[in-house]
Amino acid sequence: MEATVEGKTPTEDGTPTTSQGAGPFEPKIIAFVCNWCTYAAADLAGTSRIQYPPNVKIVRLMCSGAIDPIYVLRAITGGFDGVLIGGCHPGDCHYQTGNYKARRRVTILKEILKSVGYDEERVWLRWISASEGGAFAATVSEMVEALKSHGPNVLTTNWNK
Amino acid sequence: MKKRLKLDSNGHGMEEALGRLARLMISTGGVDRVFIPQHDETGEAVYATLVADVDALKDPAPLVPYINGNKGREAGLSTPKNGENKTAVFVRPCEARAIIELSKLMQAHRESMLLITSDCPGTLTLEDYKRLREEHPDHREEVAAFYAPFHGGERLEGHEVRECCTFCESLAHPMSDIRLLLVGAPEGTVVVEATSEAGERVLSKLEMEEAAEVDEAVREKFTEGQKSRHAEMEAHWDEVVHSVEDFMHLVQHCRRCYNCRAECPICYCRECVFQTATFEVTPDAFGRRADQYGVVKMPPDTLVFHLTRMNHMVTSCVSCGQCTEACPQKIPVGKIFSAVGRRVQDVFDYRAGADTADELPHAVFREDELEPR
Ligand code: SF4
Ligand code: SF4
Ligand code: FES
Repeated sequence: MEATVEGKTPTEDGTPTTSQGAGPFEPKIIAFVCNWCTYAAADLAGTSRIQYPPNVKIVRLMCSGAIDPIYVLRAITGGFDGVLIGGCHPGDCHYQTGNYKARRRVTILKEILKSVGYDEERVWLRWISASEGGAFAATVSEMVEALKSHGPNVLTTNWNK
Repeated sequence: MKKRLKLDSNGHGMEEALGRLARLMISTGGVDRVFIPQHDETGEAVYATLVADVDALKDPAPLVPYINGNKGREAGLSTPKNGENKTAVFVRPCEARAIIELSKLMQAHRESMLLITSDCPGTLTLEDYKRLREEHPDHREEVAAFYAPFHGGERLEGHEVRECCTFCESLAHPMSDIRLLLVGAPEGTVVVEATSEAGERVLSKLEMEEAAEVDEAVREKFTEGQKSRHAEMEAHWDEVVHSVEDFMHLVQHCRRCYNCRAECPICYCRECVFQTATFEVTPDAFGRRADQYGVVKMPPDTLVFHLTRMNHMVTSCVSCGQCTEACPQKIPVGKIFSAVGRRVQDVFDYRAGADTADELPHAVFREDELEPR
């Protein structure tokens, strides 16, 4: 079943995108980022005017350990082509162990996705500290490029899910 | 050498012999209560029962080739904390595995149990069990017929066991206190093995004959066969599931009744996330989705449901197959969860239900692991 809005792929929030049909494929990414590190890095990238692709929507979590696999599943069934999870480097989590737990949780989630035949490389977990604005911008650019080569997410247009 | 005793059926059937063993455990003070399946008064239905009075243990059915759900959960729910009252728990290997997972999840108290696991040839669906009973209206004969080939490491022909039983990898669980060995034991006898010190203490109070050896080669051969069928099941998964659409095809008839989750011994949460506001779709949201996609399936989120249930429990899936039994749409849920579970458990070198000492993958972490992500 194809999308209804002509030449466009619908998203859960109702924002139409031009990820299919008209123009080259532009992947939509949702980033769940830790307040204390990756969010600050994104902010720094912005204030430092570092250029990075506008394909990403940012959701702030208090810690990468607050990621629930349901958020990721909702995103990949709800119109996004990729999910980036950003946390503090190992040893730097402000709640001591949140990022270690996130790492286990994301590993389990990705192994499940892989086992059911889904392209698990659409889900990224990255450690980006508050001072690494450049790394945040580079990660987003890298992810956009990678997702372009993977193509649109099959679950976006499949209504029978 | 582990202490092994011989339990003879003496013409009364193996189950009655095990009932006698259970009664003796209570009357010699080895345990306070016994958790054991029994026939009801009609002799047709089998229930798990918790017995305190030896006279109430009338019609024991610990070997009947049918289980009315994975009773590891009920065993957990009916044994108190701190080992104050010791309960002898007669279960199958898959139920013992569930008990081990549930103790780690703090839903069962392994230390309060004298865990007694029997070699299991597999169990039948209710339909197939009824057919077996028609062939052998006498329950004792039915059990004798079903187990006769099992002593030699074979299964009764013409009575296919449930799918998950065909690839169940363990005979009587090695982490039990007492194991009831049937494979490799002489026909019509059960070899009762004290597998732990607690088991040894209880058995030492009973006056029973020492057992002759069980045939280890027969046991080995049976287990190897089961392991290779598990490997075949895994290989089959790789052949069938190439894309997420293939997976969606496997669960396409799901009607979201949640029976699989209700019957799963590992799904213990009182409030399941699927029945909270998180999964509630308001009329507005339905409308919005329909507007966006042109059409929306009802009920929605089949894929998210199964993948979320996997996220919550597949590291602890004990492959009992009760979800398959519960599914009105005949979706092989147990096989699906077993195949995915094995892959995920492999990442952590974990086997659900193997050992209380192994840490739950979700509950722990190492500082230095799983990189790159
Ligand atoms: S998912 Fe199915 S096979 Fe696995 S433990 Fe639960 S009921 Fe048993
Ligand atoms: S029991 Fe079957 S139909 Fe019901 S929710 Fe589970 S898979 Fe779907
Ligand atoms: S506070 Fe940043 S990952 Fe925990």
